Amino acid sequence: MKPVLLIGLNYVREQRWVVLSLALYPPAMLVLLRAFDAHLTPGDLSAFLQQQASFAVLFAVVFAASAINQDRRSRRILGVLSKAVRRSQYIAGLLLGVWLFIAIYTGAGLLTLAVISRDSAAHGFRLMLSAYVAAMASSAVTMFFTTFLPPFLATLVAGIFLGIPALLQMLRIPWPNYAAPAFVLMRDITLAPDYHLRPDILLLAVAHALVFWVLASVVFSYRDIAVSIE
Amino acid sequence: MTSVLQYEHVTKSYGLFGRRVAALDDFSLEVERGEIFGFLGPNGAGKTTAIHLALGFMRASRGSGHMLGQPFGHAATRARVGFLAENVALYHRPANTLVKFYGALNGLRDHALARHVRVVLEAVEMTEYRDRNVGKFSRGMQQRIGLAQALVNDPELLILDEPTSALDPLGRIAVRELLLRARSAGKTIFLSSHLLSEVEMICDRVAVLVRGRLLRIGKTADLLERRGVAVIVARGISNTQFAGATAQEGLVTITVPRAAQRETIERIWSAGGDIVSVTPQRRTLEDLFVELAGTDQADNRGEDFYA
Repeated sequence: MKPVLLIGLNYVREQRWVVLSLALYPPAMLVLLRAFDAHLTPGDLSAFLQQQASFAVLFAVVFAASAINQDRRSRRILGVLSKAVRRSQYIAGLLLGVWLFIAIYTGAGLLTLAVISRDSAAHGFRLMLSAYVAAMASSAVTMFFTTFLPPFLATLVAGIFLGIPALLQMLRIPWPNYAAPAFVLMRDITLAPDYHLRPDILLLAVAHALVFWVLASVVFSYRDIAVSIE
Repeated sequence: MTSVLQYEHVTKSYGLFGRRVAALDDFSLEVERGEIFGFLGPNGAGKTTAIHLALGFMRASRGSGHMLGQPFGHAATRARVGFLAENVALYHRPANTLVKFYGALNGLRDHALARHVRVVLEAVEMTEYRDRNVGKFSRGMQQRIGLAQALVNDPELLILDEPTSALDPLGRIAVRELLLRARSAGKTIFLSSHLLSEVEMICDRVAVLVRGRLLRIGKTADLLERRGVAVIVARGISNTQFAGATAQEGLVTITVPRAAQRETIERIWSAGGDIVSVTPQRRTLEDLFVELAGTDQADNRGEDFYA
């Protein structure tokens, strides 16, 4: 467990300037909105939160896609995996790092909301918690694809994979919620005006994250990590 | 003696389908406990591939191997191994924190970790820079920190890929002494290096790898002895009496086949001369390396290479 924590914290430390910049974005935006329109309606705040929720998932996908690649390109991965660290622990550490980063991002948004409008805080918490869990599942899916695809392609394929339910929905083809909990969460966040937590879907999304972590670990354990990837 | 590192008919190929290239070809090797083993070969010979296989960074296409009694890639075993990669790449953190990070990844905790970090930073002479960010270090200083992270877990087996390539002469001497001390403490060192003079000085055994194949392996002294040739130094004779002899400051040096050694000595005595020394001729590791690598390249070169 300790190596996972160390790798996760190290990831956040390596990305600290990006984390800081993005964590400052929600408060900066809310301050700007307040400056130009002193009477923000609950609808405005809800729209802002929906935007933040989408960004959280997007950032999770993008950061998960590049995490392994960054370490391989810099060859720093050799230093880590020459220690008593299993590949599954390494993947778990990077995922933890991405999740910590998203927690900081969503936390910053929530904190700012709580300062600006206490009435919206409870609704905001429900929304951001769901977005966070959707980001967990999405990042694990992306991490799985990035174990055998280059980052750009992994992002693309993960995007398609996560978006398949939208296509099925458009084509009016029925699909089970348990197959794509991250999509269900994001759909509810962005489309449902009065969002309610769905614990079953949240648990499914966490289960999805774990399944894709296992899959990513299995595939990554067969990969040659020292081969040039350029 | 027990082997701590063992390759058994390992082949590692890269590429797909018809374009496969063998980086290692039916490679077998055993490194014994307590020795400093020199692993030599020209660029692209497969040395780094062999090291990466042992550490589990990649899997063999064929064959297998063991490190400290466990199959290659066994994560827990790596806690007993120290590794310094060629062109070491480190996270940009204060030196002290960074070495602590790597030590903690190997399972060291609390006081033991703090003590090991202090000791290894002292050993690589980086104590005064312990709070400075590694990203601001020169290549040589980064290599010292790389060595510190390899040593932090007090490993039984130390695998070093070009450990002194970026070091100045003083740094090289310090590392050489450190490796000799490690051997005295019972550690095994697997050293891949292009600095042949260094390997010659400290390695007990040497292997030469060319194009993924092991061309020569043996005790350093045995490999360097040029079998069948002796150098006789005599005085009180003229160099014109012996074919190929050279004279300097009254001493005549004659290089003869070992079979003709006795006869030459008797001729010197008959001519009224005295023998000063008889030495089996040694070559340098560089001579051996050039001979092996050069022969192999010539064997593999196309006829019209320079046409």
